[in-house]
Amino acid sequence: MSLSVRLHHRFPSFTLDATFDAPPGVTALFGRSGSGKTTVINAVAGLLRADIGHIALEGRVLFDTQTRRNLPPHRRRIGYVFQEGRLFPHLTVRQNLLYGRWFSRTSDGVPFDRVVDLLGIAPLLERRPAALSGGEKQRVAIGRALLSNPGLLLMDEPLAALDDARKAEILPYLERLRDQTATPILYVSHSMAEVARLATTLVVMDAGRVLRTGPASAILSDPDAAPLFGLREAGAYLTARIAAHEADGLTSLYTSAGPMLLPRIDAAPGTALRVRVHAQDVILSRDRPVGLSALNILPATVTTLRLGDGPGALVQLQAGSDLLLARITRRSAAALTLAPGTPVFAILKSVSVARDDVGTGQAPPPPRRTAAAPHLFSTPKPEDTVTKEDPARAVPTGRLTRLLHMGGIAGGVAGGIVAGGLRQLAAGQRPDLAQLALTPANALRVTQGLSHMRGAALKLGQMLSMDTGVVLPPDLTRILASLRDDARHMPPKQLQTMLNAEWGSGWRARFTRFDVRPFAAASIGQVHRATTADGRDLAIKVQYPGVRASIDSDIDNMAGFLRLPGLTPQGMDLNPLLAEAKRQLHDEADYETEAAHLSRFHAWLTESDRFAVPALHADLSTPQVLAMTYMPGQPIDTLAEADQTTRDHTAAALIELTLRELFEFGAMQTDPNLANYRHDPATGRIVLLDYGAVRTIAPETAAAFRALMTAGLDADREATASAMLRIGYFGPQTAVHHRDLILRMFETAMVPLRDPHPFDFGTSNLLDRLRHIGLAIGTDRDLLHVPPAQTLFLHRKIGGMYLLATKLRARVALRPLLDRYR
Amino acid sequence: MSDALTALIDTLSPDEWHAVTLSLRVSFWATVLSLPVGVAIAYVLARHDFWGKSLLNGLVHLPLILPPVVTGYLLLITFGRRGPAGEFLEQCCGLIFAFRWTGAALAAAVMAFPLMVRAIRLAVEAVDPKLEQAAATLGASRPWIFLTVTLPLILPGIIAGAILAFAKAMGEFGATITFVSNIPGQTQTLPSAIYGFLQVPGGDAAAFRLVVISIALAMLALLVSEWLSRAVARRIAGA
Repeated sequence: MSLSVRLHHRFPSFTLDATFDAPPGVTALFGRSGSGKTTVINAVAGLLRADIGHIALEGRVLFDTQTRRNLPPHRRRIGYVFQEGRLFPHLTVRQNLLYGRWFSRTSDGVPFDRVVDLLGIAPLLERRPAALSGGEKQRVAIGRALLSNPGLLLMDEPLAALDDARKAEILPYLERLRDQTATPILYVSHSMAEVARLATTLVVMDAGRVLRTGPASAILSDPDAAPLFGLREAGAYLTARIAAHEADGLTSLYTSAGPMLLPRIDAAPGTALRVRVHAQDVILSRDRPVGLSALNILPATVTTLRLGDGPGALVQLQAGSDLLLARITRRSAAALTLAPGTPVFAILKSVSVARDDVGTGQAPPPPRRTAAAPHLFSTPKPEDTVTKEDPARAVPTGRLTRLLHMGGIAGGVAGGIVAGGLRQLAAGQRPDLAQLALTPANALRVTQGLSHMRGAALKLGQMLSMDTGVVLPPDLTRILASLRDDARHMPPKQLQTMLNAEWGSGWRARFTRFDVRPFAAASIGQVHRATTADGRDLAIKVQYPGVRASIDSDIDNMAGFLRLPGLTPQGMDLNPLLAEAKRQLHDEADYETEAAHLSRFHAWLTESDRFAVPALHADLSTPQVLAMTYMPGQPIDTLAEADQTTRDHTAAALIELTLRELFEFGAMQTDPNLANYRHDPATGRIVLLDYGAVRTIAPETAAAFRALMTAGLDADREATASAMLRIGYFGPQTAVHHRDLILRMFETAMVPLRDPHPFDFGTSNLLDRLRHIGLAIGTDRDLLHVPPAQTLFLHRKIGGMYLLATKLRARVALRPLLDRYR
Repeated sequence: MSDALTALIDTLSPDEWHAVTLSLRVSFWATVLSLPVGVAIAYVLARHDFWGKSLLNGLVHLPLILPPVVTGYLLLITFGRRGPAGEFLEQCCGLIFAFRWTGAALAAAVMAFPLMVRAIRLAVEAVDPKLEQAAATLGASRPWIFLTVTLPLILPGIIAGAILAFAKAMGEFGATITFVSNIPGQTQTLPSAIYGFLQVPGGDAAAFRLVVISIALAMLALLVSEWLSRAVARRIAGA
């Protein structure tokens, strides 16, 4: 990590919230004009002072609002190349170049001659800026910044003011800068062409917010990110090396996916290249086509498929060690039956790659086939179609991404299982907050600055730990916890306004007591205790105003924090999680639905002597206010100290409830967060709270799971396999050994369920065993079948119950519970 | 022309000659000593917003608007030997303004100051602050930025302001005569000498000689200023 940036700044017209890291290489800040890119680098340079933020370069803090540190620009050691050059008109080129050196007072910087040589400005040295062309000025400006010995180079659209010919003149120099100097570069641009040529890391911004950040190759090839770039501009790049120049004007290249031919490239054989491939220029074919005019046919594997709302579809391909993006029609995607894992051929016309699309770059991993056969039309042998990845790159990243990509579930039966694998991996690279230069208090400050991000923070933290099992660093856990317990709440005036709007202004008269201070916080609201004039003791949940509208942006903001390296495992794809978090929060923001679920659960469990569900008070409930009976109780964790019988009964009751939800109610509370379960010592009942995350279960889904459970209890492998197929844990084409792995995982999970004797949650190592199988599935590169989304909530619920039972160190005989529902 | 001028100078009486040299001396010192203050105030007015900026701006421009006699009178009551500032300066540094050539220089400096500040301020405003930002990113602190970027770029403005101030000082009459009177050989500058000759019968010839010298000096100042600005502009434009 070399530069870390966290900024919050309010302008009259928009608010900037940017969090990202810039590793060595070129980090491109990409976005439309007005998206806040220049503001960001001005803040990094010290030309703008942000309201709240933290900027550190190589661990050196340049700016921190908390410690009131704000180094002036001249002490930051940051070279800035401005859009308009800004050469000093009264100095010669040589004097301009040496200006910064004079102040840097060290002699160990880049040698003057080397910079002059790198930028090709030797003939200009004695001229004055007025006598230079636009391109020459810009090269001198780059040289001047470089010679000031900076720890970081900032470039603010350095090519925007130039015509195409001048741009083409400078781009190679920037590539040399990237590949031949160690200085990291933060490069602002709104041009896809420049980004595709230069960027090694990408930060996509819009309206003051960071939408995406990550390695350029991953984001450029990500179908979900393509709309941000404009569909016509979208496309990834191949790394290649010039093999030879052919007699007919073509140049042949090696790529890790196979040989390629492009129109003549003016560079020596052996030169490493970066070839931009527009998504719309890529043609896909299931079979290797013959009799085709296009010269480049690269074997590839579909990794992601995104169907658009319109006729289009975007396909991410793994071609050798590179990722490509192809834009085709939905119709074609259906006709070719494309799905993740489908082997295809990516076809590219040589002439579709323009001269500007080819730049120099890092070399691809050595081609597997010997150099003797750069000739192109030989059909590769099947084992060649999957090229081994560069090991250094593939190991942790690919594996983790993969595990997560499959929804943290692979063939998993319990929510925390595959997650357990993640946990182990994550433990190996234990996140260290100090290293991030993120002081918890600081992060908290920023979080507090954005008042209603609480919901997003809680939801994401909870999902990260529940659904993925990622071990959050203690500092972050503390931040999340303090957010949860945060005493801050709506000021009484705002509460009054909110309730006036919901209940009408005379509402006070209806209560004899209304505590303005909330006694509990929900993720997107707060809960007040109140007594009505007719004597009802109520808990009233009031939604934060404006929450509904800001859910999406809040989640994105929080994601900015979580993307700090070290907070979440490297390479982990947060996006599916973010989407799910958004969906859940939207659901939870709808109090009318929650009210309906609450009444249903109340009706179902009204006879129960084990559970208590608050009653809905519809007269006081609105879409943003939910009134329920106040339920006294203690956190369920307090039962961990209770005697064994109580613990066993509690766990058994909750497990039974889960089964009833699935098989009887057809509705399940899918948020098995400990805070939603309380214990009422007076009655001994378990109080069930929070019905925002209730999901209805279709009868056929329940039936399918019933069949699976029955087969599992009977240890009938045949029936198990067919039930799993029916639910969609694997598809008909799934290879046999994957199917076996998934079945084995299920088998392992079923063992305690079959046992009529009590299962001791406190001492079992079941989770560990499952994790190992989960890991095997996750690391298997060919397993690309993702189980259907509607099963995920069940995994989460089972995982949550498992954790709760473990926490209670309960001993429960599971078989009798299950037998009732077969 | 130079022969004609030499001939003219030969015909000058000692008092007339003294008026010419005194005017040159007064204008020179008035310009040189007010220049650093002028640059500082012009820079501050052009680049900074602060409380009381309009007040400072008004104060600087006041001599331009007030009747010169009023300015002279104000100087007299402030810097006269009984004036608060005058008394203090006399006691601490032995500096006396009233009825001395130094007073003429002070009056000329005050009267010329607004013109100088205006010219320099325009030059500072024409310097792109982005260049100064660029210098900061290259490691220059604020004083260094001023010395290496701002100052060289406003040099034409400074020269123009100085010449303008010098010319104004040469012609200053009202405030000077009010403040330091018109004592031949001591405080009688060119304009007050011309005025003096015009007040006595038969003084026309002497007045005319001084008028010619005035015109010549003014022309010379204008030419020097033109030449200097062009040279500096050429240097900056890098042509």
